[in-house]
Amino acid sequence: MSVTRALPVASALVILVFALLVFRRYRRRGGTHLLVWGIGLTMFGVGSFTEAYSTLAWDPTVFRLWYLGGAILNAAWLGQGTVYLLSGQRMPNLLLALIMGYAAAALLFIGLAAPLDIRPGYVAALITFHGIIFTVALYRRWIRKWSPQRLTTVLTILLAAGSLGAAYLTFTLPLNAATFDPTQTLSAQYREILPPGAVVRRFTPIFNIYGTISLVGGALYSAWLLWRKEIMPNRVLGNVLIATGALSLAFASSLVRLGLGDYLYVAELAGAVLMFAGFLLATVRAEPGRQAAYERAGGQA
Amino acid sequence: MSRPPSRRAPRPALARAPLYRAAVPVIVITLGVVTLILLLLAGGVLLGIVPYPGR
Repeated sequence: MSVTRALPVASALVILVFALLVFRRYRRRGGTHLLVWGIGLTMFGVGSFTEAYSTLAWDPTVFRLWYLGGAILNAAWLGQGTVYLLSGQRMPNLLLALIMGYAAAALLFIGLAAPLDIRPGYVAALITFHGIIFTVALYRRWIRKWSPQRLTTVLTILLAAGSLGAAYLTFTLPLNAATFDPTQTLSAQYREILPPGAVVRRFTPIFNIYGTISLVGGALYSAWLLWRKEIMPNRVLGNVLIATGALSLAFASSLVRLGLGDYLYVAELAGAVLMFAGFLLATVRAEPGRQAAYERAGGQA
Repeated sequence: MSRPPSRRAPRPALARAPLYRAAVPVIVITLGVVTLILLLLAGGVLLGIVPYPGR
């Protein structure tokens, strides 16, 4: 078996076991964050399995599933699990206001850039300035006053609507199958298979930026919080591993955009193993007193 | 009157270890900075300021 085929198979197996453990934990203990993490991991697994399948044969549905699950949605849904876990706390809510404020500013000024013929440098300056204003307005006017449940529900509805939109766009794209080469990785050749200027490609960074901020930021915040309180060092180290694994995935998608798609599978496997190890370390059974202290601290996993 | 004994659980040994105390903030801050750089690059790519092949 070639490395190109073996690496995504290995990633898929790690993710399969990881997802099963997360779903089992959800069934036993409840917690919407575990359910949403499970959904994100399932999408990650779909991405890895379809990658492995594509080294055998071409199938348009498999390609679309790879693009949707592996490239667009997995990070965002994993990050959404962390949003569920940490919602209601001041710092994560501020971070959320920052993401939404900058997303609103980016949508507005990127939308206006073409009709008003604004240069990219000015667009960046306008987004930087107005992002702060929108962040403060969102935080003071809505996010600070909303209940955690309402906030996470609104975000999940937005993410689900965006995911459905991305799925519709992905499954209605005309694909250029003639350029497919089974000896190359999908990430190294997907640009030639997708039609030039496909709208869905503009969605990809938005989902991934949201996922990276929430997943990495959430894990680092949890690690910091528990380190400061000097409790549950296993969860501190587990969250550091989760953040490192998620960052490895973010690097992987950046490598693809820089035309280095061949390294994606290594980075993906590293991300899967690190996040799984982090989850196992963070969920080592704690003593009841420490568990209660952890729940009060609002730590991750 | 004496104060009631604290019911706070003792700190785990690892949480008090000097290497752990020193290394965790360094790692967390480093990962945070790397994430920030990556996000700025992604923002730059979105705006077309940072070019990448195939866009």
